[in-house]
Amino acid sequence: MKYLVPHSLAEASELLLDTGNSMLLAGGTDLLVEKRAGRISPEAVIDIKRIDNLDRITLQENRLVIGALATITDLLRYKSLPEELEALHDAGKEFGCYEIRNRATIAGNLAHASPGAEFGSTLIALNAEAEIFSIRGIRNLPVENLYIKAGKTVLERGEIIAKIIIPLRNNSASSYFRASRVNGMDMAVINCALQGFYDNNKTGGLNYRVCLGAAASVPVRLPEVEKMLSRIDGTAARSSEVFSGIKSYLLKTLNPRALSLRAAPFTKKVLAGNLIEDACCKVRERLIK
Amino acid sequence: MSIPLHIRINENSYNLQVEEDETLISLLRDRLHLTGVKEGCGNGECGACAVIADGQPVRSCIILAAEMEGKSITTIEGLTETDENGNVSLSPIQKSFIEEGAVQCGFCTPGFIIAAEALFMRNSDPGDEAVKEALSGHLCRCTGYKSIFKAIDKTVKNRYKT
Repeated sequence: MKYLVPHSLAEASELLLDTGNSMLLAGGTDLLVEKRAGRISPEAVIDIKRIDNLDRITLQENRLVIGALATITDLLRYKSLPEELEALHDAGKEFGCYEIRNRATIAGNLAHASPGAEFGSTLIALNAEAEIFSIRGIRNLPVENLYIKAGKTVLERGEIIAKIIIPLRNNSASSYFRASRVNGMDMAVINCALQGFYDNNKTGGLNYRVCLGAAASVPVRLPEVEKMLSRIDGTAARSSEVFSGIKSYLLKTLNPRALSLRAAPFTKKVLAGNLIEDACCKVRERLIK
Repeated sequence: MSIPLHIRINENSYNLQVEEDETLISLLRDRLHLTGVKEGCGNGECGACAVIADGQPVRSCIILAAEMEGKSITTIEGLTETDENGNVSLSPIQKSFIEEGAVQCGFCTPGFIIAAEALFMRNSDPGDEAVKEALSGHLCRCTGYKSIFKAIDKTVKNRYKT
């Protein structure tokens, strides 16, 4: 195996194109595990950690930009995280353990495309985009359109997630919840990220974006559930009617794979409903202070 | 083919040649004989292989040695001090672990102590939640954790007594 150290994104992209079976190395918390288990055997790893400025998190006028090398710890320590993006903080706190968070990157979590990845569902709920660099050009892609199946994204050879761009939304709040077998070092049995937002002049009720992780081979957005949630008007009767409607809908429509190591499909479907309720209540609590 | 690596380990500088796929733990244990670093799961899950790299605790079993170019590493061996007569003195955390019986088979102990040491480097007076977070990815199959928490608590208290 070759170990290559590019000093720019362009050089990294060229190396990816020039070396047959090569992989990018950032934190390595997935790559090294897969390699040691014999599930991958790259001819070359391309360590992008010596490319300058890729680890930055910057708050711009109407967006938060997370560089490819920003770790989960960088995110959790970031002082200017806008309140409406609190789901990012929720997800970071659930992620791996302290030592894994020091190495693992948010972009790597997306690129690895694990179905229950913390930041897959979270960034989809927050309507984030990935800025994808290649020597052939740069393109922006909604994170929602990034996934093909477990472990597989639409990234082509030579393409690198250079940044993650999260739009800021006035009058919004977000949250992330997950169910796992143990606290700490475990993958999600199911996870749920949710954003609630008012339209610009705050005339209508709350609207929602909802995304589940580990419910299918890729994170799934639930437009139907989003519509159902928007019928909540704050009264107890309506809320309980909406949540029970959502739970029956999920039991009928979700189709998690039968061979999951972590939970049977029925358990996942029930937990999904519970998490959506938890996440929705948390968002309303954060928004309606 | 091997690649050059400049690294500081426990305050000593090394200029080494490492293999491309050599892990940090393999370099530390097999070549430099710093066998206080333990390999448990080999997956980054158990924490026995933890070392401090530039002030941050990390898992040496899922890091390539080559990634550590220019870094400064502290292993459990680096926490003790030896005077000119060859007397070794343990760090306060190590002493507390012994006093509280927080060591049974001892395999996970270096990882826990490294995690606690790194915690004290960033937070001189950690509360229970911070301690839990710092240790959350460390597995111990003997003691049931209580004595480990006690040892860390004792270290914090001793610090503020003196």
